[in-house]
Amino acid sequence: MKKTKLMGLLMTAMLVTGSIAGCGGAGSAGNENASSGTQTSQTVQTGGDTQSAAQEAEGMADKVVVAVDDDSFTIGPWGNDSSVRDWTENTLWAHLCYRPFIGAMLEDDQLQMYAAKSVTKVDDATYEVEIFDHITDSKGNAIKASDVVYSYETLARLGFVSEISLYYAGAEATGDYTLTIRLKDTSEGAIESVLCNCSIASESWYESASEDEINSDPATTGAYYVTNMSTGSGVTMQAREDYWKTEGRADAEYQNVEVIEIRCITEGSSRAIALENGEVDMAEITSNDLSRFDGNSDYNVTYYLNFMSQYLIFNTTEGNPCADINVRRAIAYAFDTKTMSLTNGECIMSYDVAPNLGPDYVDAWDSADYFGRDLDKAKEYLAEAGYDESNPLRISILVTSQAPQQPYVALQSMLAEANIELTIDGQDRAARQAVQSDPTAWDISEYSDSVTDFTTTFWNDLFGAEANGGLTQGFTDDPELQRLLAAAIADRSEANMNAFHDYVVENCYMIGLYTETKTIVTTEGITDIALQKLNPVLNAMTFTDDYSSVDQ
Amino acid sequence: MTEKNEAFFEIQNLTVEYHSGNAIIHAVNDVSLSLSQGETLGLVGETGAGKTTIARAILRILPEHSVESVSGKVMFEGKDILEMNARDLHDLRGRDISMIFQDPMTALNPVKTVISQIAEGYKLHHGCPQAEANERAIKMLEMVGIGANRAYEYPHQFSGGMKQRVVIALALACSPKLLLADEPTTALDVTIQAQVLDLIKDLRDELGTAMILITHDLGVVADICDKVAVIYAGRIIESGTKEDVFDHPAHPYTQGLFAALPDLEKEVERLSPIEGLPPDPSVIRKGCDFMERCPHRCDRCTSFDNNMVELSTGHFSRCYRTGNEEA
Amino acid sequence: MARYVIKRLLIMIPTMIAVGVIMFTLMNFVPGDPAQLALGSGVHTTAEIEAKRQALGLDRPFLVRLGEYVGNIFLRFDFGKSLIDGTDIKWELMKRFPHTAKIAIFSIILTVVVGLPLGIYTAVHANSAGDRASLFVTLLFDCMPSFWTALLLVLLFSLKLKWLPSSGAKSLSYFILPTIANSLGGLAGFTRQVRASMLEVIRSDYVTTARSKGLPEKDVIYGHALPNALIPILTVIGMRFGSMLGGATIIEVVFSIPGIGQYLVNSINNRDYNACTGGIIFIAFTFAVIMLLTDLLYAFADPRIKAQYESSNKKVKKNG
Repeated sequence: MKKTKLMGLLMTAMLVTGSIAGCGGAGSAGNENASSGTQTSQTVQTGGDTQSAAQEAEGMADKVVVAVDDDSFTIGPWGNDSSVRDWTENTLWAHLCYRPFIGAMLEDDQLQMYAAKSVTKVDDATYEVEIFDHITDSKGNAIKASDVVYSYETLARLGFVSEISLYYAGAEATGDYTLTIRLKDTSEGAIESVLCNCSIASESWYESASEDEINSDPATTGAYYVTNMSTGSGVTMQAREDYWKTEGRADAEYQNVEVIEIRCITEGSSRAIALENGEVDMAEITSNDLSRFDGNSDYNVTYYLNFMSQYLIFNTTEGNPCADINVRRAIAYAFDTKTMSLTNGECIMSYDVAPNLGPDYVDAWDSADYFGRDLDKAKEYLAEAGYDESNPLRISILVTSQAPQQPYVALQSMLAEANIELTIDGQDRAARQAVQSDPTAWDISEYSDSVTDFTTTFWNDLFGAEANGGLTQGFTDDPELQRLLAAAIADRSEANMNAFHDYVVENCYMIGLYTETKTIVTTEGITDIALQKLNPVLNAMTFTDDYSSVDQ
Repeated sequence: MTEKNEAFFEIQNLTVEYHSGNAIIHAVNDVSLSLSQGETLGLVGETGAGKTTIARAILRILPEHSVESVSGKVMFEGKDILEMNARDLHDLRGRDISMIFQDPMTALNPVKTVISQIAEGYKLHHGCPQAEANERAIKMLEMVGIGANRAYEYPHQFSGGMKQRVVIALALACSPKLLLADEPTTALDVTIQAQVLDLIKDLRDELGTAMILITHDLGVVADICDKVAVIYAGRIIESGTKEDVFDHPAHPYTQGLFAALPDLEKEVERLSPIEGLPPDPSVIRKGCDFMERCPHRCDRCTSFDNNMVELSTGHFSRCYRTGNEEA
Repeated sequence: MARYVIKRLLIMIPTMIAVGVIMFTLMNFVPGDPAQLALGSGVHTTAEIEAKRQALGLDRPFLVRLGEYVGNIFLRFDFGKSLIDGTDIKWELMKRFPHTAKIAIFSIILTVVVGLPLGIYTAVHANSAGDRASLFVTLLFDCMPSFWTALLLVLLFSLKLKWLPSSGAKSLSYFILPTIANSLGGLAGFTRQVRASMLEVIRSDYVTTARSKGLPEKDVIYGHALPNALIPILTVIGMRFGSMLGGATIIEVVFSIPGIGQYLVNSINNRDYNACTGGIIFIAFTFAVIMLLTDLLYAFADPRIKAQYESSNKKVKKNG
């Protein structure tokens, strides 16, 4: 009997050790990373900074294998957002124009012509487009203006791209190679979005092709075609020998490498292992695994800003503690964002609600005073609001349970020192979305959004009354706020931007937190990943002369 | 113990111990008996006396996980079975000595046809082709009264009595020289019992098989056996010819057994069982095993040396009372 | 026998319908809006969300959607389109199923090939040193969480030894590590079950009868004991295989194998009603088929069961 008891204890001990070893590993690695870097030592590439550095190569590298975090994607001309689609859509499918950096504008001649030969403005809502007359897809079909119109109409019907739904009104073919595009919204950036976000495909092919063919062996109009597609697992693209454009190619049309193989690996540590093991040439690496590659001469590391930035919103509905500005200020001064961000690796702090990505961001904000930890001030404001030792402030924060929770735990402990009791209400993404618009369901909410072109668009998403059903994301009803916002959108002068920025900070409606930096690590043979906007342009990367892929 | 005839089968001082938990169970204590060719010995005793253990010990099919020790000799045609190597033992089993088991419901493999189970043994021991073995199996089935048309059926399709017949056919397939029948009719109902017993008797007569018939039914012994051995608490307490034991039971236990039988002719209100229970087999006792329950108990019993007393030629009793004293 | 099979097949139909209805209903009443999730992360206007809901047909009443969905599946075998990315669900399931099937088939083969002999050995040599060692080792693996075992295997065989690839599903060698990681945990239970079944059978009377016939020990164990011991084990194997076909999600995620498990979990997180319900119906169907095959195999192995199947209304031959 004693022997069996001993065995039982031994087993339990092993199980416990095993679980701790398994779980603790991730956390401790994160802490290691956090303590090593107090400021970003590398320069972080942000799309807005670097004017496209992509270069067309003379020869073609043989192959590049890339590990991407995704598990479900489509490669047909029009489909839902996914990582793989972000990395492949412009490579496989011709678009009318191409935007080489965030905020490139047509009128400043900053767009690159892709399938379009020229774009002429007729009036604010009408543009005439002439396309090249020798465009063919990978199965030999010729592309005419009617195919372009068909593509736009189909995409508008399917509804996958919100910019098309928002801005595109209609298109008509005026000749074999000319067409007119009409907009229903003429705000800044509208025509650029419409010109650059719709894949062009042959109508005759699309109508007659089976579902299977569209999803695994489509007739592509871009510089590459699909040689192998495995649902959820990866896709292999090969440069088209007969590609119709031979000179004056846009960055998205470069053919710097012959074969691009994308492999989907969702586990961050698995990607790091695949890279270290010589199974892939390039991978997105999380901050936990970065230490193996950083500073290692066999690898090149590119830092870039995650396109989603984090911020906190306060619920200012009457009856909620956060309706009181003193409460909001107290919370704002009770924590510091740097500490919150430590477990997420290197992050860029936000000094406004938006990150420094759009061209209308006022750089001076980055060095001005923003909220920081000041316990005395916090306690002062709390007292003004009527809270003290005996009556602590109790609030909850709504977060997504699938995201790492360490930042919120850090926030919780910092607020506790200011005598604020924070409860973390973690819900899964879908359940959370259901309660986000319910003013009785949360006090503070963590949120994230992206800057695709302008800071004002970002502001509009959060504060714009029209976009949010009459109030802001935090249910605030403030006409002055709306006026300042409208002014800034209409005219992005520094004065207007400052006015809005100052107003938000003063009223403490929201607090900008941080934007994570992500990293892409490549083997030493890849020296530039052509990161122009939010992801690398795989076919426009720069390879050294002696580069050869790990996977032959 | 000392038969003058050529004994072709003899058990000498067989002792079997089991272990249960931390205790040692003395199941069979120093048992000796012998058998001549063609003879039938009836082994009588109450449940738990050790009869089945003796039979299994002969074939060395005792449950391995609970046996503590087996000592003594089991001589068959001059060779000691307990010392045999595996090869000889496997040859012996089924071919020279066979066993009929007590519970027909579980004695047959449920997923094999009846014919295959009988043919298997025959083919093994005679090394003949399958067809010949099957033929032999069918002949055996017919011998026990089961038609050839049922040969390819499975055990669950037969009734209890028929299953036992199959077991008998299986045991006799290779015409063994010695048959061990362990309470072959106990699990059957009375009407079937008679049939099966008759069958056993007929086959024994036809094939000339020697037999050790284990039973607790004195009537069966009277019907079939030539010799009788009575077991109590793992020891043979009386042995002799059927006539010796039935007409002149010497040991008080044997006398008690006969007295307990209900008699159609006498009118009694109550049966007269033997008082008390058999002794605890995990305890080694001094003196006579039956002492506690014996109506003739006296001081000499405690120092009894437990040796057999020969009352007349071939009639032994393990008690100093010779049956001639007054009750 | 044929009647039995037909009866079983017919019963599957209402079962599948019930599964479909229950899943669809449950998913609908869980909080979360697939339209919002389909639009992706980031902020969306109420108008956008409403438009998406209409495009997906989610604005119609529940019963209408339920009826249409069930009708499509069972009358036209049309599983519909994913609410999130518009892909054809049946196409996705068909593309992913072979990967899950490969893992399941290889895992069950590995489990049986290792567990069966081990179980027989430990039963025949019960309580010996070998028995205890096998118990220790199998329990050890049983206690390890499968993702941890998977990562350890990758560290050893991929990173250190460079024998095997660490992720993906391109050729058969990619399935070696996932199969091992998937099977190790269940090996303990399976071995013990074989052992228990063998032990019970070894002590049976008919095994003693077989010995008393003079059969060599090997024939007794493999010819008489094993066929009987295997009968309950068949059900175990069938059930394990059936549930493995439902997707070993953890293994699929760690090794980036695009299988059914991963697909289902994602569709649940995204509240993709159609994909989730379609996936579950698919799994329920494969499981039911496997169980039917197991039951038929059972009948083949045990004549008593076969008799039971055949004579549901005929009188069984009783004690004659």
